[in-house]
Amino acid sequence: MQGKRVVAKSVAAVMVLCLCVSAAQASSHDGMTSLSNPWNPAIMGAEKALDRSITVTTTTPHAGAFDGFSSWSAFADYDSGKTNDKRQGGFDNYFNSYTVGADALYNNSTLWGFLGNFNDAKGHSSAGARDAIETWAYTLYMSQPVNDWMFWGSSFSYSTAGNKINSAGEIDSDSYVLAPYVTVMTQMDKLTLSLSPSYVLGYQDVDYPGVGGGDSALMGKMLLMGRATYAVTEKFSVSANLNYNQVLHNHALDTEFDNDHRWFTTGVKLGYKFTSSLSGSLGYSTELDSNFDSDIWTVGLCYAF
Amino acid sequence: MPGIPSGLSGIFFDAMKSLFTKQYAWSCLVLFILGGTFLSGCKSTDIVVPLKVQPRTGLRVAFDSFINVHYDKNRTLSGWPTTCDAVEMTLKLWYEQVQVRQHIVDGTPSDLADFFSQLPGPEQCDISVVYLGSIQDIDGNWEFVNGTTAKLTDVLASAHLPQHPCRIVILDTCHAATVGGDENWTRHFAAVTLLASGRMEKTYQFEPSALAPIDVEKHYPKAWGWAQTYLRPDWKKQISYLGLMWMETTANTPVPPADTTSWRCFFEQCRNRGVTFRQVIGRRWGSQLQSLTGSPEPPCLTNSGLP
Repeated sequence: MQGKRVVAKSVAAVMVLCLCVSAAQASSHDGMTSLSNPWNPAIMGAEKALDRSITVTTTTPHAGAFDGFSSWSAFADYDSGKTNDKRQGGFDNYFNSYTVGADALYNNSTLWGFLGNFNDAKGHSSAGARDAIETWAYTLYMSQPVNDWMFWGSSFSYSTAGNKINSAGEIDSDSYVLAPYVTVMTQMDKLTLSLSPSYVLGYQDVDYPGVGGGDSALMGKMLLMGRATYAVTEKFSVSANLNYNQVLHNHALDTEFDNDHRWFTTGVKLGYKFTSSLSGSLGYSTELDSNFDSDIWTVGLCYAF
Repeated sequence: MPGIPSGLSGIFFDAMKSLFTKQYAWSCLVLFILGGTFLSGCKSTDIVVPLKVQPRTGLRVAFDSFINVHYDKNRTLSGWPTTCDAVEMTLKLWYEQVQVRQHIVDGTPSDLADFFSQLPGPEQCDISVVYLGSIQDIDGNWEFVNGTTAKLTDVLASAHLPQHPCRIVILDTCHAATVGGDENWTRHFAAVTLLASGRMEKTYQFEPSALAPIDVEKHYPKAWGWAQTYLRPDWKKQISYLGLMWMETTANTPVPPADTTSWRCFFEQCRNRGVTFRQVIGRRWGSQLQSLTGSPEPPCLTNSGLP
């Protein structure tokens, strides 16, 4: 009990600290397809996987034994967003993103899941160049409880993107993102708090079919995801998250910016249980940053079998 | 700002932009969250006062319990000790002479065999109530917290079991109905058994304070009132599904059962409340409670009263 209180206080303290520090931080970002971009579909896939792990871990326990795969869930998300790169020559894009996935508990303890995502982005720069980016991303994830207040997990995402820019031809890229994490969580009646530090390692291979040649990038960052969920009623819940991103090392395509990028993303999500099996959510997320702006709305459905 | 592209994203963003400016949206959300929290905190805390029951005199009742609770890997059955406490408290409210005997938590298969062997005989009590809780698989194998497994009916068969004509057993496990096919269970062990789940079913835990998976206070105010009145003030606010149905039925039972027939009728009422739960709330979290008897019994007189 004492341990849980200490964890609860620690989680709350770190989240408050993150919120305070966020006001003082300013950061910069690389281009649209860069791994340093928080809205890179492979990075988003890793974060969605972490989000699923937290959600499933708080499901209702039962007195059943190990029995292979059980407690299947299928889910679908639609994200629609605007990303605004305020730097000179930066692109402003609107995107639609479609995600479907499924996960299940193996032996009643380990979560295994898969999600696929298609992201379609279009926009133009202040100089008049237009771009169109289509990305397919696939993510495999798992999580395993350590005890009743901690679990660890990992996700692996692969994405392939085609970026057409009318003034510069086409750019194709393949991205690989590995994101191991640990989550500590505590529940105080209707309020659940969680804190998930993660190391996100991404590799990106870029080809320029039009002009020939290619390039590659390697980026490692720390992602600290804090989340609070409050059950207003048995059907309706509100959750808020605050994610701190700190690039730890960066050998990027765009070397214009230093390797010490840091930024915050934050959002709120309203959840509603239509039935005991079907739930829906509506969320909004944005970025706390001076050079880069974004507004993303998400609607989602989840069915638990 | 770029021009809004045609298509779904443009329509969606036009709508959102006209509906919310950034500051307005955040203000609304903060107000909404604070308002919800406030209203939630302002909810009435009136508790339904449970029925006063006149305890039965002249009956000696013994209570024994064996529960596996502290499994590793986040599978702790935190709500099951609460159910055990609820059963014990029910007996203390219903009978003047209650002897709490064995209370084994996190035992081994040999501990379970010893537990069965040390159950009271008819010379020691008039009614023997036994509560059993554990993780159990579909074949009736119990998982013990030390990692071993053993079939419940095999352990029962290996024990030197003292028979009792009025042994009342509560089996609070997943796949509980698997014991129904065991003749030893109904012939030599239990006169009446309350099973928490069907052969293919899991039985879940409820957290009344977390509103998961349902708002217990809203849907079962009598059970909530009974728990708040009779359980320890610091009870963990976690309970098994059988425990929830037990408390709701107990809170509506004016006359304590006196024999196997009236116990079976009490269990039938628990079962009926389970049926209603599945009809009203949904089937996902509610397992099928069942009563199991060794021999044909006369039907219960009513749904609301005990004979």
